[in-house]
Amino acid sequence: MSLLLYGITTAGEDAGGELLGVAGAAVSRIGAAGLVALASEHAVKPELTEEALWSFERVLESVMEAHAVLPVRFGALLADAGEVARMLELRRAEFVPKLERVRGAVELSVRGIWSEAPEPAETRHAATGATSGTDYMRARLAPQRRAHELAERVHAQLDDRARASTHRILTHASVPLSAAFLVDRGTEAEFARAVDSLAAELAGTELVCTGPWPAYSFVGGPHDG
Amino acid sequence: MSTAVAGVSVEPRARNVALIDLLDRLLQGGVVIQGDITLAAADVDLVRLDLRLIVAAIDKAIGS
Repeated sequence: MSLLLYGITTAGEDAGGELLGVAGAAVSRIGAAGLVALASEHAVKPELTEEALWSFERVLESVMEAHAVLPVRFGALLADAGEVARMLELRRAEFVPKLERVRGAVELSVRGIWSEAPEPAETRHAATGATSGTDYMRARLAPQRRAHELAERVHAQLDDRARASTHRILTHASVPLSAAFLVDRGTEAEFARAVDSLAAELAGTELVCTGPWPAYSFVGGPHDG
Repeated sequence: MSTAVAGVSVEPRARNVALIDLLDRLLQGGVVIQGDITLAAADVDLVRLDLRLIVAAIDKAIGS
């Protein structure tokens, strides 16, 4: 038997009632050092399937409705409750400030998707006309530069509405921007509207906003947001 | 919550994006805890393969 970890929350925040996790396994709460880890017991290593990932996600979504939670990267299996408690004690100093950072906040994702194939390479063009030449160059910018421009634009417009933000560029050829924003719970709709108005200004790029997610992108290393 | 997407392509596109968001977050985000057993690299590669198929589906939707 081993324990699959979902997330870490603060003791006393006995979130939700019975939670069912990956493969229908009951989620238990293991407390130590003023923290609580959410975990489910598995006789065999859980399979990595889309359904398993959504089950995992649903557990965290139920908890985050009312409580600060640090999502754990999928797939961490510890031997038993003693091991989980030792981990909580060992990393308490790291987890407590992170919990405060995400308390009352949710993560929203903003993906930029090109609705036209990007130019494979930068095409040089001797611009003659002032404005039309600028437009032409803009359309021909290399994907990297276009993606960075999009990132700057998105952050300039949306960062004021977020506690923190982070992004990655061109994770896939048609996805120039994968950004994440940590926003106050309750402001999601307002944020989505801001994404809408920004999207209306962009030509050739769609913006898709999803969430609210647990703060997966804001609980890792110092590179996060 | 999807924006500036018109017509029937909204739903599948948004769903696909949500799935990419899910995979990215659960497998590359979150607190990293060194378990006794963590998922084998092969498992993660399998999901990355699925991810490529999803992205290909998005590309196709865009092209059509």
